[in-house]
Amino acid sequence: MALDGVSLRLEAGKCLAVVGESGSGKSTLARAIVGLTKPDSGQIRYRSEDLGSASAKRRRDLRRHIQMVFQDPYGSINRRLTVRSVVAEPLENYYPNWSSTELDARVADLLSKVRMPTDAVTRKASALSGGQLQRVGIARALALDPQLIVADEPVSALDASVQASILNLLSELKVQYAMSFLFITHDLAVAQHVADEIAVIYKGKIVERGEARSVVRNPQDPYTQRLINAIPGFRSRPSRPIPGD
Amino acid sequence: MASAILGLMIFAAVFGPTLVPDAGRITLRDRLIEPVGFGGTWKHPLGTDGLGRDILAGIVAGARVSLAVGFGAAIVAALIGVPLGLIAGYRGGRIDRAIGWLVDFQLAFPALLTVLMIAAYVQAGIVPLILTIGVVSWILFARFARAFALSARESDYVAAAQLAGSSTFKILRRHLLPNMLSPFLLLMLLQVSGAVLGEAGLSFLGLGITRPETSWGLMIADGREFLRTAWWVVVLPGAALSITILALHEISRTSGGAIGILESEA
Repeated sequence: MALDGVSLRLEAGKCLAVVGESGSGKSTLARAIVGLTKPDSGQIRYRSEDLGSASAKRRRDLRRHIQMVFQDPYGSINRRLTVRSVVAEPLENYYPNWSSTELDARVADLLSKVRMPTDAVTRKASALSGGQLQRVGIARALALDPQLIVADEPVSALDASVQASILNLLSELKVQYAMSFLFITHDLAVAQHVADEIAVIYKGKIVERGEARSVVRNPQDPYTQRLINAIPGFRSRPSRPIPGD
Repeated sequence: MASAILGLMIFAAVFGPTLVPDAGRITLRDRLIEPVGFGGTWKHPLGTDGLGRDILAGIVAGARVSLAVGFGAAIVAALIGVPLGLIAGYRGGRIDRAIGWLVDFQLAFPALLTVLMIAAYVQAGIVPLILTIGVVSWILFARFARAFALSARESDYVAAAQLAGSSTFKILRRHLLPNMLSPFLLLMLLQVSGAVLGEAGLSFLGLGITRPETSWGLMIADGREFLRTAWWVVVLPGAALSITILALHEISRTSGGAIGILESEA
């Protein structure tokens, strides 16, 4: 899906939710920010440094600060590996001199941060539930002490009962480690729950952006209004037709 | 059933020469003795060939050669084809085109010609046969590994490994290789059967195993002149060959389902 003239700025330590329906280009945005997709034009800047024009070595140094939590924990974790090897993989790459005891200690620390029992290290990823796998995915994203975590629909593949606990975990981690979050979701209610700011994306363009509460309470764009009216038990004002719909 | 047959063949290949010695002993007095049930005696249960060599001993000794060449050549082919295919599929671009060119070259160049050229320079034997058949049959593994890597590189677990800073080599070894293991093993069995047939064909043509060693293809070749008078000299080693090939295919076919079930449980 094409993105068109999207310009976003994310303050350190804040959580920005990008809200849009499927096909609106939000996953493309997430993949471009973490560097999995190259934008045809435009720049991704991290601390005012252009990631596209940085040298490979510099990019590798910068990339470690931007990590991702994927939508589908089953697809984003190699289920033949143990939890330890999944979480230790980024550490092995960036700290090749660490001994296996140091790795073990760091992995145990990361697992406790995401509230996984420490005895989970030796378990195969294939033996975990979706919610547990997503916790492992979050631990892996935290391993390199990132400044920014891009979470692409991190709960939409999970059971409703697990969703809230993962959202709460992400909110707590954000506060605790003063990380910035880019939270990609189709669900305005989820966005309001976790985000300081909300940007609404529609057909590859940002149609509205503002402080989370005011976007939900007082949406300006007709598309935002329609999204809000789609939340059960939530109604802003009568919706107007959307231009170009 | 198929596993039992293959097991028996492997058993024969490993222990046969100690159980049935003297595979190559020529006893002209005992030429062309019929198998048991066709006028022969238990001294030579499957009869003897035109030089009085025991057919059963020959089949047992041939199993060792056939299976060694079969598995050995398939392993050589996999060692060449899988890494090339994985890199081609994962990296794409120029590397993919270069490896694709190698594949086309190998396809266009007749395998038999390669074999003849190698045979012209190297003394025939098991090791040259393994290398030759392996080198001419790596393409299937390369194509299979490339197709697998092409789809896997779009997957989230590979994306996650890239974000983790893993090198291409590490991603291929740690993430792609283990995940293609079960279809790979099935392909391996098919390649083994292809290599067993290849060995029989080459030995039949006189380009493979030579006396005093023996192989099924060589026994069939030696028996050609007795086809009308002493059928067992050709038919019995031929049957051993066919049954082994059928068993390999059958295992490959049925374990496709079994591995699928294992995967979904994992």
